[in-house]
Amino acid sequence: MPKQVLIINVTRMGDLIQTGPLLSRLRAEWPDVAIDLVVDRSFAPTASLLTGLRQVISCDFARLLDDCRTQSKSLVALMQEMTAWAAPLSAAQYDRIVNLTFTRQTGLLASYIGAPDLRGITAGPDGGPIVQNPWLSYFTDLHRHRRFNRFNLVDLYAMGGSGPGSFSPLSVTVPDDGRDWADSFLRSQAQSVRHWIAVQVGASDVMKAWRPEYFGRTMAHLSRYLGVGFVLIGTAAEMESIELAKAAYRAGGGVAPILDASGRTTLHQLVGLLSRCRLLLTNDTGPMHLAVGVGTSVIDLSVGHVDHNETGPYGPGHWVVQPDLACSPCGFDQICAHHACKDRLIPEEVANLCLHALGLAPCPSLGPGLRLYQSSVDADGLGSFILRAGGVDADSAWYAGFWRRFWYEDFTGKQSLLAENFESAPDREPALAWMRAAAQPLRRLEQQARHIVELIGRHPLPVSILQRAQAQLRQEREELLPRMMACSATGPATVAMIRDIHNDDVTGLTLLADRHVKAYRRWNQRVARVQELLSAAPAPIKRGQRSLPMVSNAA
Amino acid sequence: MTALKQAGAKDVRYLPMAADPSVHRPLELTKVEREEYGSEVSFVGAGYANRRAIFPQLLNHEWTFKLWGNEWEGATELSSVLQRNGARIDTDTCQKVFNASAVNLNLHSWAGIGLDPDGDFVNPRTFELAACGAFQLADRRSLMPDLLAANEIATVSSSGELPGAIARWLREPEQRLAMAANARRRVLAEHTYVHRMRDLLSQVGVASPDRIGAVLRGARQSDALALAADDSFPSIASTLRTFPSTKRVELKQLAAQIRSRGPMGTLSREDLMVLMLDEYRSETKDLV
Repeated sequence: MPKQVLIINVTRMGDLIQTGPLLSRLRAEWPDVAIDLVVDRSFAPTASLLTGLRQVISCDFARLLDDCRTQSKSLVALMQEMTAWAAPLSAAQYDRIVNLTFTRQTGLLASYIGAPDLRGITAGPDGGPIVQNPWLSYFTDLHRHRRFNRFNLVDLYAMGGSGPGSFSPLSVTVPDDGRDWADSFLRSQAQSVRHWIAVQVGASDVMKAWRPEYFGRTMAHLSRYLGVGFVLIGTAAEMESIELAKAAYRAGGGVAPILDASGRTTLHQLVGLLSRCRLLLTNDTGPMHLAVGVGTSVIDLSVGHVDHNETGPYGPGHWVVQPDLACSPCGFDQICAHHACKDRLIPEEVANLCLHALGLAPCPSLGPGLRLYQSSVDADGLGSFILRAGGVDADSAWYAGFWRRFWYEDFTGKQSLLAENFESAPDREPALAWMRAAAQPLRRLEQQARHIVELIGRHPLPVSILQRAQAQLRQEREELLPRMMACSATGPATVAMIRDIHNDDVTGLTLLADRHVKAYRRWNQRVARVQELLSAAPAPIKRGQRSLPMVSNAA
Repeated sequence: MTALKQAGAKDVRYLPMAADPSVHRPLELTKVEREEYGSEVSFVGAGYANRRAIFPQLLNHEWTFKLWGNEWEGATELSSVLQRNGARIDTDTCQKVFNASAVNLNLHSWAGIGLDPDGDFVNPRTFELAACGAFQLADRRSLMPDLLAANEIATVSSSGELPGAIARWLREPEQRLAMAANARRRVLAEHTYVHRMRDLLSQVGVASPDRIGAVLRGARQSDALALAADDSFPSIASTLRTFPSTKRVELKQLAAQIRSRGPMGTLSREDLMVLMLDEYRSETKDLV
């Protein structure tokens, strides 16, 4: 019987497009798999552009939210509505549910529908959220050690929802009506343009939007080159920013044809336009992923809280400009008074990069305060970024490469095909000293966890002794955590341990205690493995800023 | 609506006017009242420019014409038909005029001459006349067809058509009555203020605005909910019966009861659904 998989991904356009390679991976895992996708009603059109789905099941989650908040219906009426909606999903008897929406609500929905293999956030035995699957656990906690992350969301989805495999690009269907409309739209306006450049000035969050006037100045600079023309895309809500960009374009002496399609395109037309453009200059947005999906090169301006390592353009053929600033990228809920990162990106330099991407100029040498990355695919078949200009601090660079390899091997059980890094960690000696010092407390925690298992096995249950043992374990763990978290060599493994001991997916004291023993053992083993790897590497030769070690490893 | 959108309003929708059938209703009038308020043709309203220009055309015909309402100062041509010397009339009087007139004119106000060629919205008088079971002859409005059909309201598209239309409808009393009855049925079914408030609340996200009514009727009490849940959700019905029978129970209380079983409790699929809905209830951010 063919396998059936349900994917739950309800929140954003970009997230949906980034689900594409997971669909390919699932088909590689089970060639006759039937894949269904649950989306919010507003994103059903986007989902229809993905290939390889049996059906898209949409729900008006915003309406559901309102109904629940306002208590406009009785709880029985709400139950009746939602169970009726979910009935076909439960009846399908999926073999696997992959919940890529990291909310408690969808976790409960996944558990309600039920499947033998649940991945992502689901409901634990007490209804609390737990995360199933190491890749998706990693994604849940990624913000804790963001500067060390080198896994693109696309790969986390694919490996979490299926497993490791060969590279598969984002893929979006270009509907015929959208392509025809785009051809007609572009042809009717300017015959002389050979290089249409789409420009996405706005973004869903102002924090991640480059300044509109800089877009205008960039376009003005580019307009001096023969055959260039611009198509402005965006929603009606972004028109104010687009007008600012146009004003700056005119003030900067822009002379090339400029077409404003903002607020005027359907999704099909937007996809058609992107497919007909040579390049998209953009903030990190849903249309950026659409452009990647239709094979159009992207220049991604990675500002604000955006980290291109997480959500940047996937696969080869794209460029990312990132400000080199101590606070960049900032936290997800950061409120920023200065937006100084946006001023690091110089419009004329961005324009030169666009020309390079169009094959009209050599790769530009950017000024200080910037990093330039070229997107690629690494030897493990994962999306990656090659540093082409600028530098990364030595600690971040070394440990990002280290943890990239470490987690890949730890989660997949396979050896990474990335080339070995023969340089040693910048903090090798202090890190090793710390791990040697931490070894005994770590072992002791595991022993205490085993002791608790033994206490739980006694009859009658020695309640007060058990409580004291648990309190002691908790106290010693909390004393150890700050230093473990602060060290680049132990922090990420410690984050994983914290997830592990809070991920209670079993019921009953004995099973819970067993689970905690395994969590402490895994922590121990991972730290020991890190220690072994750091010990094996030769002593450092030099320090300071340098290129990412994975540059030389990229395929 | 287009102007509002151009002015920057992101979400513009049309909520038409309506009638309150407890106020505007068919009346049994006495002979004296019929004499006082009745006429073959009448109009109730203020003296806007277009009406001042049109109504003189309706004088000196075979029908009787009465004009009610205020702000008719200076309309000397109409003084012979203006009632109560142009005093403002109250709702009771208005209803009696509606009920006593054979043809109630309903010309929407406009600052120009004649009928508004771009008129869109439908005035409250349209629904009030219909709720009274009164026949009306209105000017054509672009939003009218969705609200009242051709067998429910008579319309003209230019002021020149008015005398002919009046004469025709005065000759056809049975059709007038049938059309007025159709309009009243339609208003009672779709165009009362209850319908409008339901639509309004639905548009702003409260799909069933009868929450307070349900609470007052006891439909949100644990016993009533348990009864409603018995067939479809037996485990929820069972949990509901752990509450005092007259206690009002919403998602929050039910979810708390389920969670209170602690980590060693077992959750049914129905419990998971309740917890999910409760998570939506307590969500502080919009989803997309």
